[in-house]
Amino acid sequence: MSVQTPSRSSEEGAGHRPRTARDIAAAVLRQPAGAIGTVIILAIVLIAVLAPLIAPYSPTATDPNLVLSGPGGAHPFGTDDAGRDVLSRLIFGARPALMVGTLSVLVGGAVGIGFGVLAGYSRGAVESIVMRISDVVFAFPLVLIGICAVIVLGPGVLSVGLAVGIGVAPMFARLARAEVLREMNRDYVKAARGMGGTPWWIVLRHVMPNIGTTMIVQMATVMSSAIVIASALDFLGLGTQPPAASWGNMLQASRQYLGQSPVFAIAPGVVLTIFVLAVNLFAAALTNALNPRIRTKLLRARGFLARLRGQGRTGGTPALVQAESVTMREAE
Amino acid sequence: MTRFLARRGLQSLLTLFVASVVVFGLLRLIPGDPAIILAGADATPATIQATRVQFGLDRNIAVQYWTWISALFHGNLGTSFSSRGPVSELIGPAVMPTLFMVLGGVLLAIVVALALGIGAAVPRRRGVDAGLTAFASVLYGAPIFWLALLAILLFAVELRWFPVGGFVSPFQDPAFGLSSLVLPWAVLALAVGGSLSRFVRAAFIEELESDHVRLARAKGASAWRAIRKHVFRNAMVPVVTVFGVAFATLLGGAVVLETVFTWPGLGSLMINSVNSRDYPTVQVLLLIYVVTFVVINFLTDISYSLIDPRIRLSERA
Amino acid sequence: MTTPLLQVRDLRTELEAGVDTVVAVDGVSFDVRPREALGIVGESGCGKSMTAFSIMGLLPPGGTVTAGEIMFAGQDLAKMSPAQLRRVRGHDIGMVFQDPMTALNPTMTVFDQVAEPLRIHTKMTRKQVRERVVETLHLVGIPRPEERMSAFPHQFSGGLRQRVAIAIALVCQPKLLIADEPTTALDVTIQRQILELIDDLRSRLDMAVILVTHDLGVIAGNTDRVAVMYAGKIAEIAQTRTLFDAPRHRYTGGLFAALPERAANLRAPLVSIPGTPPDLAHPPAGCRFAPRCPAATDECRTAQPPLEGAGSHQFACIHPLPETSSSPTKRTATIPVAGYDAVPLPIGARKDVLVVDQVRKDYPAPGSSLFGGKQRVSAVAGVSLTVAESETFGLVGESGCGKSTIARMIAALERPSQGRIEVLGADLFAASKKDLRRRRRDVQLMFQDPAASMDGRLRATGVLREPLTIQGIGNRESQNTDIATLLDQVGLPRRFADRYPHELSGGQRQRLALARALALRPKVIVADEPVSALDVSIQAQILNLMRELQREHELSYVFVSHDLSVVRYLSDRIGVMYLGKLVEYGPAEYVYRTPVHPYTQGLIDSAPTTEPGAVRGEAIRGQLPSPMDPPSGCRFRTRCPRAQDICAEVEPDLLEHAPGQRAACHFPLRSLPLTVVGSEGVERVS
Repeated sequence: MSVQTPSRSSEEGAGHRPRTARDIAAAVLRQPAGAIGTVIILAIVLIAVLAPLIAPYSPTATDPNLVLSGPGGAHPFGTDDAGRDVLSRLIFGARPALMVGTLSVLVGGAVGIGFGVLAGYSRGAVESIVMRISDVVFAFPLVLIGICAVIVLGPGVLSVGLAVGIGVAPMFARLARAEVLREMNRDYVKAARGMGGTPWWIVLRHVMPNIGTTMIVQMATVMSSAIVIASALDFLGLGTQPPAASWGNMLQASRQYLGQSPVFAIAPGVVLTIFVLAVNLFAAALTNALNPRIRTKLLRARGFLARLRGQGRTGGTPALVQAESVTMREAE
Repeated sequence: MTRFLARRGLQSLLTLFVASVVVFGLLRLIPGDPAIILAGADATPATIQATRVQFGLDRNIAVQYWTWISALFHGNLGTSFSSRGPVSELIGPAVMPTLFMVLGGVLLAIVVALALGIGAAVPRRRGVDAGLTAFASVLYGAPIFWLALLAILLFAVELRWFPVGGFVSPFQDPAFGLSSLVLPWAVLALAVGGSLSRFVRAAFIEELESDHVRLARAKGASAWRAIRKHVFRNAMVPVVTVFGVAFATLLGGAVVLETVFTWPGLGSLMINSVNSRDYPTVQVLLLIYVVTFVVINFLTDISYSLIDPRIRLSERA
Repeated sequence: MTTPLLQVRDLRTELEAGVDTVVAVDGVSFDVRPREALGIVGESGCGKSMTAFSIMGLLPPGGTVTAGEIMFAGQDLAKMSPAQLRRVRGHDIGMVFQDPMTALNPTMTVFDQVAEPLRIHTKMTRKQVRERVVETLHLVGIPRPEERMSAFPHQFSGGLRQRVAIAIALVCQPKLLIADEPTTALDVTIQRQILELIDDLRSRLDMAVILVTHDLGVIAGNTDRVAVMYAGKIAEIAQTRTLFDAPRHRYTGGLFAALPERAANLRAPLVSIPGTPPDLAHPPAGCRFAPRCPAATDECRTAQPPLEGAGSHQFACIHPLPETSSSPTKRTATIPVAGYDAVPLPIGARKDVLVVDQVRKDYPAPGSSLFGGKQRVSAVAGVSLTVAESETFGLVGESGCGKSTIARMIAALERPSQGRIEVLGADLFAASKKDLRRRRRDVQLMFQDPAASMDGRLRATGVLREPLTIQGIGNRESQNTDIATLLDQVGLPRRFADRYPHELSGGQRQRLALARALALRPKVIVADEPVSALDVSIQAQILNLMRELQREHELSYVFVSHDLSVVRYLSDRIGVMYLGKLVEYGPAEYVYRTPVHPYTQGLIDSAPTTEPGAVRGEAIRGQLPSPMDPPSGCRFRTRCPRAQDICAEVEPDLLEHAPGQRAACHFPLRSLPLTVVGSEGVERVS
């Protein structure tokens, strides 16, 4: 006796399935955190890119008569201790923040991940060496690494970037190694080996994509810390040097004039904080979107996939068993 | 456990050794003749030559390292360029202010982390959780030096409750000394504590949802008892492991804060020395920080193995 | 009739799961009398655990009891305040959970954990507490309790940990014990020990027991009455014996029919229940089983059938199974117990596809790196076996026996420390790397956990394409054709190709795993516990499929499992392993019905059986010895009821004690009276 169970989940539907990358983007934007984060980050990127066009004044143009004037009139955020427009400097300050924050993490992260994967895959002596080196780097708080870089290279963006890159690499190395170890124990890696997969195949096809999620999320999270650390180094006078504008060195300058021009002290910090929070929110949303299970739930919840599959029904709780519309071959 | 600790101890020593080599080698990385760098930009050729001999720069690099390290162990911390006096005299008075700030900051940070983390995890209410988590994320998202500036702006400049900066030892002037510590402590505690609270929260949530807590409730334990006896100790295990990393953040933060609060501590000394190219002092300070950090991490490992009997006793009874 | 200890009436429990509300327990009623053992059985998601948690008031966050009453000793637990309920928990009702490793607090000593209920509920002095703890630990069979109670849970073996958990539940001498899957996480021989312990304690402590499980075999031997749950409701409730002899509800009948043990003719496919349980957030109107029931009519689909019946046997079915003995369960009695003249055809007539020759696998002992010499653990200590074409070889044993290690070596995932493995006549490990890659096509793998065995990032197409791409078979087009064919062969609709594994059910995932294993057209598939993680009705589907594919493709299987009934169903020959050694092997039916080695007998006896009234031999005592220091001579001797001095001195060889059956034992047994002359020329009659 064959039994047909009524179709419950979206079985029939349009043939073509949407692409994964688009799914991920959609999943990010469907979350409030993701939407807010993305918007803010994009705004800041735009501001940085279009700075010369947006800023009302040149960031280095001084006006000795208007030193430390408050907000209002020609200068919405007032002027700094050299009579420069704070707003324009804020706008241009986005550039070093973005550049150092992103580049250093990308490069440091790539190096760290590379070594971490190497350590996790090779085990033995290679692993020990990589881990011990990362221990040593870990022993130096980031600020101190910045100091070391400045000693050798002199102050400037390059030192800060290098310092942050070196500082974050061991974090990635450790994480990558731990993830690789975990992945190598998975059944599907064993299956792939059983099929004759070479080590390269396994690393590229299985290990990297599966640790990729964690790594990308880690990069996003670390980026926010990197931006803060870079600003801190600027604040200490070790990074971007005046007259070039960076949020960090603006805060440094503002320190002496707290009473006279509070806006000068508050504004760069606010912008920094907003940027950092946006990156954190984005990272959180990205974490969810990269996980295939959660992604499916996110997309399905708003009927996204169902619409593409030609149905209007929202699915039930994924935790419970899904019904099948298939007649089992052996049902007699 | 002894095996575990022995291994970690060896690793720590190795790390210290390599770190000291790095600190030592930094100077050699600077482009230019090390002798000139060490003697100072305005030194005469005679001084430069004397410096070269004094530091053994004409000899084997390993010997140089050995000379430097053994001198340190004997208490000779070198001669500062700026003051022309022993480095130890510069460092000595700077220790106390930094100790006050860091120790107080650590303790308060732990309190804040526990309060925020437990407060978010335990009540099991989404509203409370979301609210406290958001608060914590602002705390660790905002740059610590900016928080310090804001604190100074509000509490010192506008309200005049606390001094703008500077350190007075509470041993000499309890009232003023403590009030000078309030703002730095508050900022450190909130910023680092906020950051650490994420891990506390995660650890507590995981424990609260674990099977053995359910069993404890099945025994008839009240929620309070379950938390006290079961959740706390187990949740502390992951938190302690994270503490080492948090301490690094704290040390870094303290350096920055010393600049903001014009604190006569080791951090300010370091920044000033870097700016004035006083390398002998910088080297010693770097070493101090690194040693402190490695020692704290090792102590963290010890306490971690003390708390978790699975590490302590790995054999079958 | 005595007053029931526990009366549950119309219990309704709801769980909030995201936007939906799931009614996990929907109008459940039953009684438990003092000293009675009630079993609650059902598949995953049926609400049995939720019922237990509802009684204890231990629902997860988002769960509430919304209706009904739970009368215990005259009070309604459902309406009690939290403080009152706390008093009942641990003191009047004790609970045992499934996994003792996670249920016990790893940072508290065993003493503190067992003492805790006493400290909470009583005012005993320290001395009294200590005495009671020692007494209880002794009662549950922990050796030397005074010494061991200051140890931590991780220092105990699994079985002992569960005993500790039971001690915790019992220390206040409650009137009712609720056990939620207490033996699922344990080895079969330990399972039996624990179930017997619970039974023993029931009479000693004058206690009632509610046993919640998915395993019908556990129910059969250890309960007085049983309630079968499906989709949040009770489908049938009866005396255990009655239920097993003559189930009435169609679902119960279907469950029994799907059991491998119950298959009458061993070569016929298992009857399986098609489809899957309903979504409890949107349950169907009418009988919940109707969508899957072969006898469902419109009446079934419109109204929910009430639970009714004569006397103590009640069921909720409008078209129940007939009362007479034409039910599938009776068929088992007619399996002829063959004499030895019905020995199956020698397998040697067929070509051997797999030869394992004196294989050993050693590992360095954990924690031996820094100081001291390297200690070695022999996971596999000299095992030989052969598998012929189209044959299924079942490898059975408990944890630590080495069966998974052998499986990995056969699949060339690990190299044996000694010995040879030949596939289709060629030595796997003597080959060059390129050769080995080519040979891998002949041996493929299937794993236990269908979720973990596939990369969650690949869609079904990707999963199936991978072996083809790695081995360089065909181009994209031909691969697509192959993929479609594979899906057809395992009964998955072609449109599933675009799905991710997590979008498939457990059974569907395992089909996909089977398709992947078939992709390279192997001669041997090594299946490591392929159905252990699946519900019984789905197990049957997969086993049927495997069998069909075997016939179509002339496949051989090496079927590794701890579950004897499943192994016996599918295997032609069975090998039994213990602590790294093969202790018995031979034709499946004979190993199962007339085992030669005492350990095999113990395994069979310990396995929960659904044969009502089965006579079982002595249980296997003790715990598994440490593999780092195995017993001298025969490794099983420390737990064997028949051990003598010679067993400690001389390791027994694998000798043919019965035609086709080999065992390594100095005192092999017969469980049927036979007049066959043993290999030593001695007549043995049991």
